[in-house]
Amino acid sequence: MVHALKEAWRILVPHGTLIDVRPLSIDVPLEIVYEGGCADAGMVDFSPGVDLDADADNAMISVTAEGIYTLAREELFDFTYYWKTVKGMQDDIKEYWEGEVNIPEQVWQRARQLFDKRRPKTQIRLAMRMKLGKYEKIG
Amino acid sequence: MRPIRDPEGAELSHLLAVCDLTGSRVLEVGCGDGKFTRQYAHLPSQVVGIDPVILDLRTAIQDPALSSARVGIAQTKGENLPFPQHTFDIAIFACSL
Repeated sequence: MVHALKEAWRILVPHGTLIDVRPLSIDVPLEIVYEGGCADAGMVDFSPGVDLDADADNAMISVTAEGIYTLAREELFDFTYYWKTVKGMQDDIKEYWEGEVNIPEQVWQRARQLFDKRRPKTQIRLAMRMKLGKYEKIG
Repeated sequence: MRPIRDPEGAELSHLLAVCDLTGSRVLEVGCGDGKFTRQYAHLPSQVVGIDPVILDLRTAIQDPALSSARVGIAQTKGENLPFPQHTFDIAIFACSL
């Protein structure tokens, strides 16, 4: 990671901008949303990605400590995913998110119960917490 | 079933809130299939998206929003960028650190 950040430093113009935007591995609620409201089915565990978060954070700390970038701004925001069915989400998680997330069976059960209430425009929502860091190239 | 991603456009709006892409030269490291690139590709004077995974890049190349002459897609890694120094104004690592 540090090597890539140094390569980015090389190809950036003086005072150029580096943007680091990525999800944080913190637990977030799985929500059933519908017209006029939403209900919480329980927490989704993103702890499998904690080590990757730490590696990325440490890479940024390393290059800023070295004095080749300086942090100009940092923002946090929600990045949402919506699925149309519980089964669709389960299949998607199994195929594309394997090893990145743990969703306990009781959360799936609660999600199915809430989803089966058949309220208008029901969808499943996962709002991941994202961090965006803006860094300025020094030198 | 693939989900609908970020229909609120939060990622793009936060990017645009912190840097002006208009007329700039942008490198996106880890562009994947271009799903984020396509959202801002109309703004810079030049965009290059790179990724090591050819399967994702094939999807990006076929994306009409990325077919402009101002947009380039290349298979390479962030650790070995095939560009001279001082080529870009902005480098974006979108979920790729």
